[in-house]
Amino acid sequence: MGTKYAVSLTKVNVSFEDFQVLSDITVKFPASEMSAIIGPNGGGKTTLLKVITGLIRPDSGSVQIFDKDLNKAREQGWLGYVPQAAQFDRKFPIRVEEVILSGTLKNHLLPFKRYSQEDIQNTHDILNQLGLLELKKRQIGQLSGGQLQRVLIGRALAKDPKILLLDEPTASIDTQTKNQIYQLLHNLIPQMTILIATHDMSAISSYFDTVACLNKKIHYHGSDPLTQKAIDGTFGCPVDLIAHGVPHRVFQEDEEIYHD
Amino acid sequence: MIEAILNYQFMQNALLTAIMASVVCGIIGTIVVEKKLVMMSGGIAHTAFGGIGLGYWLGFEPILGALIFSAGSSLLITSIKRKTNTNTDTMIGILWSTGMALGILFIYLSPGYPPDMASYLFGDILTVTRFDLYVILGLVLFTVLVIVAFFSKWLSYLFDDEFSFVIGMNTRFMDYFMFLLIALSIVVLIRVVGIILVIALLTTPTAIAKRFTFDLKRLMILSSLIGMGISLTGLWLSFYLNIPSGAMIILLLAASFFLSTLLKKEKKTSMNKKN
Repeated sequence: MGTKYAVSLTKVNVSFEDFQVLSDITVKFPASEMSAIIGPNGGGKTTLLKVITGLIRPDSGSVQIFDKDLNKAREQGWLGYVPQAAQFDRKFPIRVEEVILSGTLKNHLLPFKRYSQEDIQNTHDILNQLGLLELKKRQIGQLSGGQLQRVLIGRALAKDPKILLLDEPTASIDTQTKNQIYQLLHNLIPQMTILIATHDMSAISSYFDTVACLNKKIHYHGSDPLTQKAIDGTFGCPVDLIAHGVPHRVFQEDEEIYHD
Repeated sequence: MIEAILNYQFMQNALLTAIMASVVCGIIGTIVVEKKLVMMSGGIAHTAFGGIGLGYWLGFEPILGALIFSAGSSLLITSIKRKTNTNTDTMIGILWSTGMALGILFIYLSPGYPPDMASYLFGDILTVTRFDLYVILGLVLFTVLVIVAFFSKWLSYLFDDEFSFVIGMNTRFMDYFMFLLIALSIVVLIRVVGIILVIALLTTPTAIAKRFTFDLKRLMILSSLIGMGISLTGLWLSFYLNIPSGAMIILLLAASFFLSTLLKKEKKTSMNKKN
């Protein structure tokens, strides 16, 4: 029996102006697994997620979601997307509850249609699950970074997607909250397939099934133990690693946990 | 003034226009402020001048010309923005003055005496005709209906258009539609305060309302009410003091804004108590 793949990219190329961001990316992410896409800043992680969500159309190559065309999958509501929390206008007049409700919106919404009882109940459950219930009336500017991150995850979960894509979900979050978020995501497996772009390698070993190393190209992909060569190939310049505060050594130690 | 309203149709027209324009200001102004499209709106307004000139030259209603030009420029900005990497800011600058230049050219080409452009540049609510009024009424109803009917979709789109796209919404259509709505409301406002002053009317009521609420729906309603109160007061003052109404309304808006800044602290504490 062959493995079922949730996301398959074939020979994807993306460039902005003259600058090649993604080069000849061919990679498959297995269904019902938690996969990490790691790489340095500017390595194309966000771009790759945006290609998978259809936000960026590649210059060439194709994207398939469960053997379906990307646009079909998107219109079916199969995709959940958690963008980087830092990009938001925190002053926007919207409440926590409204953010999560907005995740339940259907494509073909009838005029004057209000949220259904089911959507409201679903939103309540998500708020409860994420520990946000008492914050539901808050405007998003009144949240901490970690709380906003959970709200954005909640919004992506509201439509019960088949695939959840997260962009740096643990950036600027303390270790405890970070572990909570990873644990929460881990519990969604195997109903969901989860793809996380991160440069935070400390969490990778214990939670992820597969890892893809991305720096313009896919340097490594799989579930075998990572080699120093792959890491070097991905990050190239060690300055990036130091900038993120993750020395090589830490990652190698984690490898042991990674095996089981 | 009550007597004048009862006796003169132009006063009735002016009053109705002020009320309807305030509704548009409240709704579209909120979108413009939240999406930071203030300069874009200024550009669209000035481009409309070309359409007004064209109307005079070819002999059709100038307000229709304004409608075509502002709608056209808004769609143009959206599609150029999608296709090229030209800075939106730069593009607005180019459209802004091109529209004005076209207007001047068309008016120069018009036969006979040059028409009075001041009422379009600075607004003159007292010259609003019945025809203008019907056009404005149509635009206002359309705007309100579209926003109210799909409010939750607009909220999601305005907050995060990328996420809305990923969950399957047609955000491309909404992009175009939003700019079309902005263009339509600018045409309404040109009759009230004129091309040059339009930005203040679009942004100030929302800026004041923002001090008192952080709920998008309430922000729209409150901005509309504030706009209504101020533009009617401005109209009344201009009637008695015999000052141009557009200028009077804008000055009142500015004064109210600064007043609200001073009042902010007291209001904020009372709001918190309620919550």
